[in-house]
Amino acid sequence: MKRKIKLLVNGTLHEIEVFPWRTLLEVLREDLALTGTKHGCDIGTCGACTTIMDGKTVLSCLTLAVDAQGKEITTIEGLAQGTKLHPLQEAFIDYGGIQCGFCTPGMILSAKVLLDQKLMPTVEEVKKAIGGNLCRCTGYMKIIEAILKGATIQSET
Amino acid sequence: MRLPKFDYFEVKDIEEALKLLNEHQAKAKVMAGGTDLLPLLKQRVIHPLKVINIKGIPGLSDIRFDSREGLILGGLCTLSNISSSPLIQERFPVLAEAADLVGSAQIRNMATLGGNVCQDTRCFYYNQSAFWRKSLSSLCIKFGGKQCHVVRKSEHCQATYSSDMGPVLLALGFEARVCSLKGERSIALTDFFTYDGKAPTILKSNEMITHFRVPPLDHWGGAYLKFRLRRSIDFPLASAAAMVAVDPSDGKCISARVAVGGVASGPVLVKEAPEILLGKRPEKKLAEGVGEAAFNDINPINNVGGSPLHRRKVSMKLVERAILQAWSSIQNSRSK
Amino acid sequence: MEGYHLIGRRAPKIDGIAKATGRAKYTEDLVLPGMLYGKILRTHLHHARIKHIDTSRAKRLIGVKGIITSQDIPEPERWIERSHRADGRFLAVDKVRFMGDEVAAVAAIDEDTALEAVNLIQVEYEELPGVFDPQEALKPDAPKIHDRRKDNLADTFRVDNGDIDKGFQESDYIFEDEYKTACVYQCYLEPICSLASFEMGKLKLWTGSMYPSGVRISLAEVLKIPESKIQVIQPYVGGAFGGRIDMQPLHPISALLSMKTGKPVVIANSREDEFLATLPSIPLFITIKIGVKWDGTFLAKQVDIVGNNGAYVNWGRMIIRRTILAGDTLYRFPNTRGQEKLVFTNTPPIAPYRGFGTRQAMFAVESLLDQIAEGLNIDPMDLRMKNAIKEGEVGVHGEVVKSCGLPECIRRVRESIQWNDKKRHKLPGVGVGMACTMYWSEGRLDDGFGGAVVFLKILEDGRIQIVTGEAEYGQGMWNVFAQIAGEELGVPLENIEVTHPDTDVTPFSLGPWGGGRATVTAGNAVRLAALDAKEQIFETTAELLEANYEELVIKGGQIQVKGSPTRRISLAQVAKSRLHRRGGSMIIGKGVDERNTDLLDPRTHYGNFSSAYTFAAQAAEVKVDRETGEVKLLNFCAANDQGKAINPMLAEGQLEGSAVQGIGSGLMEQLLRREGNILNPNLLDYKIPTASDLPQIQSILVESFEPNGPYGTKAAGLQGIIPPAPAIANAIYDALGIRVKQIPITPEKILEALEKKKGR
Repeated sequence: MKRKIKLLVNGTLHEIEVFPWRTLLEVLREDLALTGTKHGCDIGTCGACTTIMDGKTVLSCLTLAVDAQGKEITTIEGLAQGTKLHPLQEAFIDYGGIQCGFCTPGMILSAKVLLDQKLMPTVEEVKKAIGGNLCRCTGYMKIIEAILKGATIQSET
Repeated sequence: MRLPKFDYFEVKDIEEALKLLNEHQAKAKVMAGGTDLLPLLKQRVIHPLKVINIKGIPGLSDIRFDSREGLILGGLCTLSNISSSPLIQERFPVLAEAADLVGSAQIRNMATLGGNVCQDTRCFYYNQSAFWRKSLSSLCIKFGGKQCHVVRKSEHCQATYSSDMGPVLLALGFEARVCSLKGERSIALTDFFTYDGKAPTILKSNEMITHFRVPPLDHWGGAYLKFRLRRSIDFPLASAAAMVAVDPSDGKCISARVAVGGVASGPVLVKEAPEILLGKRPEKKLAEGVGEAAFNDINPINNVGGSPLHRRKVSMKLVERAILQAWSSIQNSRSK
Repeated sequence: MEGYHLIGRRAPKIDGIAKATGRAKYTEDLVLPGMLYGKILRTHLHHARIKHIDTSRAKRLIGVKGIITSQDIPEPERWIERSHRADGRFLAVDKVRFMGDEVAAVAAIDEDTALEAVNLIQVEYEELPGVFDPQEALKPDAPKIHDRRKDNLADTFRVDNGDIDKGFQESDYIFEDEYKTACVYQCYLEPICSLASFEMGKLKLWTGSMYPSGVRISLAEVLKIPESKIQVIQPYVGGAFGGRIDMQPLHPISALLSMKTGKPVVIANSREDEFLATLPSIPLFITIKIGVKWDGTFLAKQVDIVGNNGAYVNWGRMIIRRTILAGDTLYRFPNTRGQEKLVFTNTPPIAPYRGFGTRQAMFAVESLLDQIAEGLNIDPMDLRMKNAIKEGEVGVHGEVVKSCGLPECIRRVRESIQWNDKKRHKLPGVGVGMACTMYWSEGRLDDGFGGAVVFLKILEDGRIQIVTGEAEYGQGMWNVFAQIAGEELGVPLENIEVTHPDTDVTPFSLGPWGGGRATVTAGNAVRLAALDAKEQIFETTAELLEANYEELVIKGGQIQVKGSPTRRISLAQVAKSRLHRRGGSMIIGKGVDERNTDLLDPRTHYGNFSSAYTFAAQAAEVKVDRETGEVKLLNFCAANDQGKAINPMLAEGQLEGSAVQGIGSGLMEQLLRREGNILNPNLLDYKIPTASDLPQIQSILVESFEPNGPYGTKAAGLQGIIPPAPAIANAIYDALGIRVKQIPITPEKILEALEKKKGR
């Protein structure tokens, strides 16, 4: 009882067949070879699987792939335009927001939706936006700084 | 951890959902946001054979205010829609504040009001994988066995109701609209919770909630305070929701409801609150009195983290503070 | 400043683009054709004998390609004692000793089938009583966990220095107390994963590890395959912090499954596997006694430490033997005694966590020091300064401290947190506290090679490839290497890359080996390799430009004759020329570095076992809610002495990350156990700090100059995890006059302490 679904991921429409009990995380990683979205905990407690769906962040490990049909999905792979990085990606790289990199995709996507809604967020707003993304390496300080710098870069371009 | 196999339905109207629920009863589960349901499936805590996605049902995500009917919230409103709704922020700010405290941004985007209120109760011995639970000597009461692993002598399940929205809706005086193939009925939230950890609400397996409604409130203030170890993600280890309404002519309390969350198998209405508060003007001593009553009304157990005695003490303080905060929010809005 | 172009620069991480775009591949991202999925059958019992394992039903399941038990292990041998289970095989033979212990494993065409198969394996156990608390396990009637041992004592040791009795006799005051630390989990964000492929007699294994060469050694030993037939390859790694220090059972299990099935096999830990069956850090129970003179001079220190080793010998022995010395050298205690008991229990075996036990031990030391400061009416910072070791001195256990920035760390933190002001003008419920630490940059763990070997290739286009087996798992090792190489060779950072460790290609490397070894020894080796390459570059350039060797200078990817800017040639041209000419060769530099450190005397533990020592001072300002016990961190200042910071931005990142881990251990992290069961094997109930839990952390880099390290650097990433918990405990005391002696300091402990104080 596989279902034929169409997933719109990073602007590309994928026609695939999946069982309804497959999560979006599994389908992204295993069927579409988009391994940028990470598998950290399975039950929605770490944020590493964060993707954007219709402009809002969701946990792909708790989203059924069949339920993601008809939505606009953005993963970390969809952020850069060719070789041109998104201001947040630039800022994370330049301001020490990345160490091991495992939380980075989810973290950047959470920051992106914040900046899509608020041009120059406050520190408190940044903390709230990334409150569901665990990081064990950085202690968050440089991530917050990178997001604020990313906002500045974005506003200048 | 992967999900188990199930039959999946995407329903387009309430009828369809109710028909499926009626046909499959306990073998079926509705899925809204999925943030409560899917982890339980992944851990094989429950294994419904039919999963019914109800997000496609129109009309269940409304946020409406009517001067006669009051505030109507569709069961499928997401928590982030509630917290960012200008209407709710203006007229029922405590609802927006409470919704904003749930989980994380991602969870709030996915989770629904109905799902949050109807969430399964929680316990260290329940929310574990099948492998982990193999290590237990017997099935616990919630799983159909006879033994509670936390309170050995308990005859009923005391798993904890950890919803944030539940206590707030209870304190504000909400009712739930419950539908089945037989028809619709409204049930006050005061009658909605069973306080039995095994089946915490009166919803039968062929019923579902469509809306929540609260009549308009006048000259009132509300507050919701949440205690948890971290300032994000965590469920409440104790929480307090307070609603007080005053007579504008003399400032005396004409209505008061206080509920404590995260410490029992349902949100606990502090029954002494009206008798302590009604007819009186705001005073710290009175709020303390309600806090003390709450302390005596609740009996949390050692099943979700934090010591039970500490959670009782914190509940007492949160009740006191929530009442004072609710009162001063009336002051503030009056002085506007 | 010194005119460096890359050293001291806040250069972006060279693997940043790969990680920011999602292109960086971690082990679970890899797919090989025909790959099978492995699942491990773990025991759900705490302690039991295995009577019989029946895999027949599992074997019959369609899609199952291979099943293994201990019967499939070639001649079980003792593992290297310091790093593995001495009684151990990676699949239980006759006994299981903790819930999670591996019993069998299955490889199948997909995960669901593998899981179903695992559930079909039937194991007949004879359950035995379990013991979970070290004090209980030491009792004479406690269940014995290892039959061949006479009891559950895994290790006991005592180190004396000076004359402890005389020290206490001469003291004007003696302070003593007891402290307890919880079992905490390293919680790197990428769960451990192993992808093994055994083909044509050779095993290829992909995994994220701190010590890939070590994984290879261990695999060779347990699988009875020659090392040369094992290739360990490291993709990107999602954090480590000690937990990934070497081989764990899933590695040889995946390898054996691959050998049996003839296909690649991947085993990925779930987060629950991580909590139940990897290697958390050791919880300690510490009794400490310190004798001082009236003026605050430290005279004597005695500690008795009991550690819960878990079910198998692992790193426990080495770690606990270090904890009994923590603080001795930092504060120049002339008389010390350290005693430890390491005890087997039916809980998961332990591994290092950042700080190697010093974190736990210093919680006791730094808490008691504040009690002493109060007793003697001396400012806590002054008390530490008075006794702290100075640069150029030799420590009481033989440590040669060539660089020490501690006084500056303390001074900066005092200023940053506004210590004097806050002590004078106290607000209700608000307090400040501080703590210091000393740590080591690396550690000699045996009498063998303790250094690093690095190769450096100049490619035809002038780019540089640093060939090293040292692991990058987020700490910024690649940048340290690249910035050093780029500095020496005048090449921009964008033109430098570092290889992923691959034991077929990259030189043997020791991994962290007791600390932040790579910074000093591998950093030195990179520099030497660069200098070696430079010689070859200059040799060829001198010919091509018809110049003298001594006249040449290299900058910006170009080599030119000093004073003659037109006489120049690009590095690419030189490299190509040397490569393609008759009698030529690729330009490859080799650097070998080993610091002259001592192996500790086995009895006295005396010796200069590290090439450099690091220091840190931190201060916390807290606001405590007296009615609920909630602690809010208002301010947090952390100063690190890591010598010259090769990349200050990354050094700050290490400091901030380690400080937040320390804050977590101080306020919220603990594995909750009840009758042996871990109640919180998930990231909701095991709480690591979120961004919402932290104030702005002021990170301060104090740069002493370490002569043993390249450009004066030493390790940056380890010491920062040690001070936060005691600093917070001390701040809480300052705020409310209560001392909590167990970490994590949860709100209920604060209310309990307040109640107790009221009751007095």
